[in-house]
Amino acid sequence: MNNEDPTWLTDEARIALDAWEQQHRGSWMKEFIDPKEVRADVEAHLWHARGESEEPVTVDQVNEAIQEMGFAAPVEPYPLVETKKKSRIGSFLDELITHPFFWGVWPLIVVLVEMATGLLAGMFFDPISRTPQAVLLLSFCVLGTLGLLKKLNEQRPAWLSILRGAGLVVAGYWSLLLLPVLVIGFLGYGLCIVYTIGIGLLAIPLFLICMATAAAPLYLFYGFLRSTNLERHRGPWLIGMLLGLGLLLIVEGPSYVTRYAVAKEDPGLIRKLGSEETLLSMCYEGRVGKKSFTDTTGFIPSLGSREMFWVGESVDLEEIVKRRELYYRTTGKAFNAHDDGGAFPGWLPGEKWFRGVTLDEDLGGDGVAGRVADLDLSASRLDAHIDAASRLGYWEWTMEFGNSGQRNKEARMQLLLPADGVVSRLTLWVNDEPQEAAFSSTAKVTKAYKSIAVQERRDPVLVRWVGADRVLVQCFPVLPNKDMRIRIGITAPLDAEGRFFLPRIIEKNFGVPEDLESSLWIQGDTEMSLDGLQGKGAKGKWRETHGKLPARELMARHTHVKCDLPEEPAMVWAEDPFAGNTLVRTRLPLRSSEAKDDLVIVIDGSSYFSKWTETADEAIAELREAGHGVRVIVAAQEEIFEDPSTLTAIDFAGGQDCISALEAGLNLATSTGSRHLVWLHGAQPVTFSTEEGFLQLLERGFHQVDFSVVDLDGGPNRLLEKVSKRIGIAGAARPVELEELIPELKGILESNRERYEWKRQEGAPEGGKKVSDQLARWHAWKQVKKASIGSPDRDKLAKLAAKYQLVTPVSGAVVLETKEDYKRFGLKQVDVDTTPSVPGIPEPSTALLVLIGSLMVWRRARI
Amino acid sequence: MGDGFDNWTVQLRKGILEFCVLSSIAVEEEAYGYELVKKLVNAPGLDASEGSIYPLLSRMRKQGLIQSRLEESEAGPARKYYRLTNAGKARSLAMQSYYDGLTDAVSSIGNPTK
Repeated sequence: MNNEDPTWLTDEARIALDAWEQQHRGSWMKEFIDPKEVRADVEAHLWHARGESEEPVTVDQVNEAIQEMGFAAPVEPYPLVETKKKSRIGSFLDELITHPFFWGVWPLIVVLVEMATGLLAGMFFDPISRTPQAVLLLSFCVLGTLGLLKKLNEQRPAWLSILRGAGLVVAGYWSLLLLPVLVIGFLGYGLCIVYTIGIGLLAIPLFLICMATAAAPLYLFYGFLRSTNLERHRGPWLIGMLLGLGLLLIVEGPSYVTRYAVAKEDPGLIRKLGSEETLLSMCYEGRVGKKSFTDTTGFIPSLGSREMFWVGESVDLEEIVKRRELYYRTTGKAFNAHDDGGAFPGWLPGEKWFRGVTLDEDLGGDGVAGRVADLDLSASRLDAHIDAASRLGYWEWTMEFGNSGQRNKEARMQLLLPADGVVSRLTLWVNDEPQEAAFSSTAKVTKAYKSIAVQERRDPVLVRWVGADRVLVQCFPVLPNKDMRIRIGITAPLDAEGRFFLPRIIEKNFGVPEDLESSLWIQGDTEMSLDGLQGKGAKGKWRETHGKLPARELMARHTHVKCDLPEEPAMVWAEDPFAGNTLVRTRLPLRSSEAKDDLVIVIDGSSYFSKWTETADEAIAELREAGHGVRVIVAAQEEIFEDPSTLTAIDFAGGQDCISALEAGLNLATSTGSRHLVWLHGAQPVTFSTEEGFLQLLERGFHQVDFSVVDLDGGPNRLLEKVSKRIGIAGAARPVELEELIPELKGILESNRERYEWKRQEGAPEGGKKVSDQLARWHAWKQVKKASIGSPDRDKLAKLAAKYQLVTPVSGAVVLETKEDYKRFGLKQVDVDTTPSVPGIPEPSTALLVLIGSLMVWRRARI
Repeated sequence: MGDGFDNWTVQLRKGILEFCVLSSIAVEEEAYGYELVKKLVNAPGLDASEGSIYPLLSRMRKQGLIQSRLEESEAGPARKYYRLTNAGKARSLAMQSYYDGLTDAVSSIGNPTK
């Protein structure tokens, strides 16, 4: 029995008490007296005065008690309102609905389920997209669960009122957000029953769970509301509400600011007050073809729109491109550089069932674009052969892609080749059989790929040159729960210090598991080493090093094999299997420039540059001391700084558009008579303004300026890709390390790079060293690359590149599924006998057998 | 004895009631409100009424000398319990000390041998 159900009071007595309390509560509250306590005093008095009597307390006894206890007398007459007694079921429901289970445990379970499955995220929007949101919601669910609201109800210390006020605001916010979802849930539920009894019945449990999820914060809100004592502790309660608002501001504020800043295209505001996490997720909104999978702050603007009800075309690609560009301007990084970008929120293995259909709007496109869910690199193997005499090496990178999703996926990546390297082989495994590629003009192979992959949805793989030692690789389809295996062969030179760089993935639309290791095997006729590889072997003149390295680490830095090279022969030659003659390369003596050329350095002052400031200051000072005139243009803070006294004083943040700075640099070089224009740059994964003005100045300027680049960061660079297709660029396409900057700049000024003379002849030349036919491929690559810039006869060049099986500015490689496919697109698959490979090292036993055999023949001949 | 005496006893009782309330609560860690009131009402000589004790309890709670809590009861209405706050404990000790001094002083005046 309790005071909610006092059978020891007559209904009249209870009403009399209620009325008396109503009449005087105002005056009591003015004196900070809790009406509930006064009521309790009177009831206690009545209860004890009644003693063992079976008779319920009457109105007269109530009046007497009030008088005896010295409280203000009731004002007659009492409003005798007949109150309806609650039925047993009604009381039970009331108890049930107001039980702390519904205020705490249920919302807690629902929040955890949502975080695990992403059910609402897949259907409407993600209510818990960020960790602070989860912490905030879970905290208040836990407080509710602990029964603070109920058990401490009677004590009501001030801090509890503060907590309740805060809980009310927090739970109220999520309740309001999820209210429309409840409405949609009911509509969907109705539609399921009315229209699609069959499939609809399957959807009903989903809708029910969804509605339960949406209703949970509503209960949490109700719980806080019910337990909040509005009369007492008004001050603390208001403080609590302000605290709740403050917590919401901390948790949600940066996201709202980000959305506002995106609308205003203000990267500075995002850096100051916004959330990079929200901006990143905004780069993927709409990727599912619907305005779903947004977050709390993105859902509000869509309220009332057609997108909210999944009606109509809502993917605004222009808007998505704008956001991706803004992400770079804000952070200085590519949006797709993040492994968790566009990730679905659920962490249960089966969460993919709730995410709905995910569309890849970039399938068969011309860029890597955003991350695709469930697509991962599942295996990686690198084999290499180094030929010391020709200073050439050959990489074979075998990769496998796995798809744990439900639909076919396209794997896309941009590979940064070793400087001056060229793709010379492409293989795709079809039904476990390796199939070699067809090499032809870029247009032809691209058309074949798009037709087979995008329209017919069958097996092709395509490699295209995109500029500045970068190639775009696309393969489709990576089937659900199956692996797709490809191999890319790369012919590349060693640099002057005997370093043979590994190819590197600089942009990708797939994930790389943290524990994935890449196996490496590097062999050659020279001593060699690679940091992290322990395995070593020697066999005659051959050396090898092997081992495993984390795949992510290989992608994060530009790694190289260090070779201890013998002196380079003056002449090397190779039989050219494609031309049917002999190619001879003669080394020319180094020609150092004595002239003290002036140069203009244009600095891409994106965020990455902050670690370069001191080194760059030192390099500039050193060049000036050496007698070179050095002028500096810096693109930073979306402005141009000319000849700053020190680079350390500039704030390098976000990603910069360098075109204006390059134009300014070129004008400065022309006006000062500088011979060189050097662009120190990082990644620039988006295209800003057009490069035509810069190229026009460079192509038509009366004063010749040599344009060089030094990559300080590594990563996709759209501007560099475009410019390199139009003009010859000197410098390091590979990213340089801090200590390499000064030598690199000096190298550009002194033009002391290796030079060769090439000639063709029948038969072997006198002297010289015979090397592998990689020499012929690399020579053809140099020819095509040089001629492709401004050449009117690109078809002829494409034929030459295809003949040597090379991916160049004018040619690409594609593997199709069937012979008919090749025929249909006028392509010819290369003969496997003509493809390059990493040769096997002969076993000692084999060599010994040959020696013994030769000796026996020699002895028999003597006998 | 006359009006003057009556007035004097009323004033004395009134002055001492607050001390009695604090002392009663201090004896127990926590005092059940109804029993506390009954104990004071029934104390011989104190002549206190519920009508004076309940407002006094409200005032003392407002002053922060005592605090109360309600507890649901298995039978009957919620029970109200009182306990002393730190300020109440301090006030109680101070009053006790003063009262002891006062009674000693009064006794010594009436009996100089003491």
